[in-house]
Amino acid sequence: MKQKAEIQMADIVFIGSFNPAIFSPAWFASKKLIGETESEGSDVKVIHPDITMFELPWFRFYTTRDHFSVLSEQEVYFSSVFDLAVGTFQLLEHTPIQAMGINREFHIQCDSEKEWHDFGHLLAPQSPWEGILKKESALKKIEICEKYSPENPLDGKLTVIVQPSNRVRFGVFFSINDHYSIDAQEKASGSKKIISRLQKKWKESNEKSETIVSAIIDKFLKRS
Amino acid sequence: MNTALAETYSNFSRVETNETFLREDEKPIEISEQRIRSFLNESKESSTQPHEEAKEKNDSNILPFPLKDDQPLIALAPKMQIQHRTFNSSIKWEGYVIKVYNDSFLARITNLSSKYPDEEVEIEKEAISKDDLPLVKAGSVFNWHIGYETEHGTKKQSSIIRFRRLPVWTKSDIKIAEALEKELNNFLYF
Repeated sequence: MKQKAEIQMADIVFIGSFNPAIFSPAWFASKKLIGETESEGSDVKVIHPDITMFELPWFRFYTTRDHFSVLSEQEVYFSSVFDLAVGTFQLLEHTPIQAMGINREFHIQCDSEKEWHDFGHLLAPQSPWEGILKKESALKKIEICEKYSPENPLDGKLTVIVQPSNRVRFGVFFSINDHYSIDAQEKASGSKKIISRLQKKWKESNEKSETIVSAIIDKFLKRS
Repeated sequence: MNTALAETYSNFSRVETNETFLREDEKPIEISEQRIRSFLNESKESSTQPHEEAKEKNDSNILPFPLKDDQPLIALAPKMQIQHRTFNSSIKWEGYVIKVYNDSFLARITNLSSKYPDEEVEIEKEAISKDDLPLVKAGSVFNWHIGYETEHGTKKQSSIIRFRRLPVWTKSDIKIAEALEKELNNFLYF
């Protein structure tokens, strides 16, 4: 099994109240959050008061009235995703945002079909199912989350999903969602609180996600 | 089957999961699959009737579905395609510009993939995208990754330099900074 992901993705999602129609590539370019040439070459799917979707070669943008998402599948641009998200809501600082997700996805290639199954069996052992299921069991999806501590809401809530990859043959897909939310009083301050939390947590959250994936692969490779 | 009916069928999955629909008066109602099926049968017969007339005929708990081909119930959002271009970084540096020359710039770079000491390098401006050229100034931060770009299954080695578009300074940020500077000056020269 390879330690390095074949495909990676970084995605910043905000939940709040947005005005999708203003988010056009030209608007981002006018605010110098993307380049002019990039803006001209963008693939606009839709710009509408309810939804805006467009793509550039390095990122995808999607927003509805209550959801804002910017993602990239090219590691060199992950910092640009952060810059775009932070820059946007430093300009639109009165936009009410109540929650944020720093999401990472990894598609890891296994060396063989056997290794692929073995990895699934490590996470979801077959033994409890022996005699219950008629045929051999296989892992379809597993979702694990860290216990949320209400005393430390700033720590966020981490959820890891592992399932077979649909993009890499005999690949394992990891999806990690690091979720942060703020209370109603903080929400009244617009986007400042959540943006400041994003600035504080971005690096830490990314490192945490990468460590989780490499640690579980390490554990698998070192199994006796 | 006309477009409106096709769209309505696509809503069956929502009904099966017992999701609740909201009417205009915001009173939650549950619609069973059986009721929708009976509604659809009625609609097929009355699909030529004007919308309002058909609405009156229906059960009060049924949402008023448009019945003409040119009045779709919902507009489906376009699907985002899977990106066929991916970039896998092998070596990653983060750097900042020290000095800008006519055709190149001097930068200090830190290897993020291993613990090598920082290096000073001269990078030609030709390696920078047209959009990023105005960002090449002393102090600007950039990412430099060397790796493999895969597009439609074809792999090629590639090097990308991307300048950070670091968050803008807002007027309130500048005001806060100026106030802090004043406070610090007062403290130091008191």
